[in-house]
Formats: sequence, C-alpha cells, structure tokens
Amino acid sequence: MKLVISLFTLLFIASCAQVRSVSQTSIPAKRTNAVTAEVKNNIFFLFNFRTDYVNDLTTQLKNKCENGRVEGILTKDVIITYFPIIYYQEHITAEGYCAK
Amino acid sequence: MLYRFIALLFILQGCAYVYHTQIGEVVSNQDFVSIPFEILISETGVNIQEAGAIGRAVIHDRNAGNNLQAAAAIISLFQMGDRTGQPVYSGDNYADRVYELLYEKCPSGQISGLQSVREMNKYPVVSGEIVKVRGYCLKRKTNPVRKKI
Repeated sequence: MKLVISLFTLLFIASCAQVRSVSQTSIPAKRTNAVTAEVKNNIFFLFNFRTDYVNDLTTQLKNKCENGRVEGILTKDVIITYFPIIYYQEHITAEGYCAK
Repeated sequence: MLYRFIALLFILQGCAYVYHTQIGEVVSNQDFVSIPFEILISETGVNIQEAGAIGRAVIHDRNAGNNLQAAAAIISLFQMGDRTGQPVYSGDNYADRVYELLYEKCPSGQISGLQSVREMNKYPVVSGEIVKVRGYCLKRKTNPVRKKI
C-alpha cells in the first residue's frame, strides 16, 4: 500500500515542460530595448475549447513598442504538466527588440 | 456497461489543440492604419483507432468488434511517425494556399504582426486540421486635401 501511495505521490509531484515549437525572425543589429509578451491557458482534466488566447500576443507587443517596430521575435510555445491528467498549462512567450 | 459509457464519453469529447505559434515583425506607426485580417484553412483529419474503438463499443458481437479494432490497428501502423494532429486524406498541400490568400487580403504586402497558428479542433473520429494566419495590413493614412480659396 505504501508503495502505491509513494508511486502516486511521485506521479503527481512530477511537473514537466515540453517545448512544442520555437520560431525566430531576423535579429536587428541594434538590440537595446527588449520587449516581451506572454499568454497562458490553463487546462483542467484535458478539456480545452479555446485557442484564441494566442491572439493577444501581437497586441501586447504592439502596445509595448508604440511608434516603433518589434524585430527579432523569438516565439516559444511550451506546455507544462503540473498534475498529470488534472492540470496543464499552455504558455506562449514572444520576445523581441523594439526599434524606433 | 458503465465502462463502455465512460469510454464513449471520453471519446466523444470535443477539444481544441494548439501545435505551433509564430509571430512576425510588429510595426506600430502613426502614419499607417492597421487593418486586421484572418485567414483560415481547414482540412478534415480522421482518427482510425478512435473509429475502431467506437465500433467495438457499439457492436454487440464481440468477435466482430475485436476484428474491427484489429483492422483499425493495422491501418494505423501505416500512419506511424511524428505529426501534428490527425492524418488527412487529401494530400499534404492543403495549406499551400496561404500565400495567395494573404496576397488577396493585403495586396500592398505591408503586413504587421503576422501570426501563424497550427491548431486542431477535435471531434469524435474526425478533426478539423486548421492553419490560421492573422495579421494587420498597413495602409498609409491619406491626408485630407485642402481646398484652395
């Protein structure tokens, strides 16, 4: 019984991250003003019905670099398992440089 | 019976998955107006194993159900390998139209914040294999013409 409980405990405390995709646009010569944007989506019991949370990334970058141009954007799409089957989090970050 | 019901419940759930996200350069300029656009290209994916599992749960004849699932397993052996989403039967070029659709949406070619997302909407047995492209088409602001007095 103890073994079963230990195994279950191990299973549930094992948080792990998977990188689903990475993309990079061309990097500018002047790299001073770094800007970042991120969106998160929580998934419970493997049920997820939305993908529109991604759309907010561009707006965030635009707001952080008004009257400028965000270049060299690194987009990283990661899924983190906090508790298997119960709770996952999709985490997308975009980092770039604001050129004015 | 209860197990079959629970299995069917899990199989019949609909879900959305994001596989890939990419963002292009973002331009914010007061001299331009940003007009948002969205392009959606979708193809139907088929999950043979799921079809076999549903068939097995629905068919009362156990032998026939087992044979159906075995057939599904054999077919899925030919679909092995890394992939995003589920296999489609119309070839791999359904997403090639993105380029021309992009040109239709923004003929000037001045695009900001081009966002490419590969996603899947999953339904029982079938799925929508989607390529979504969003962005802003930049158009220069036209100054009002001053009338000469």
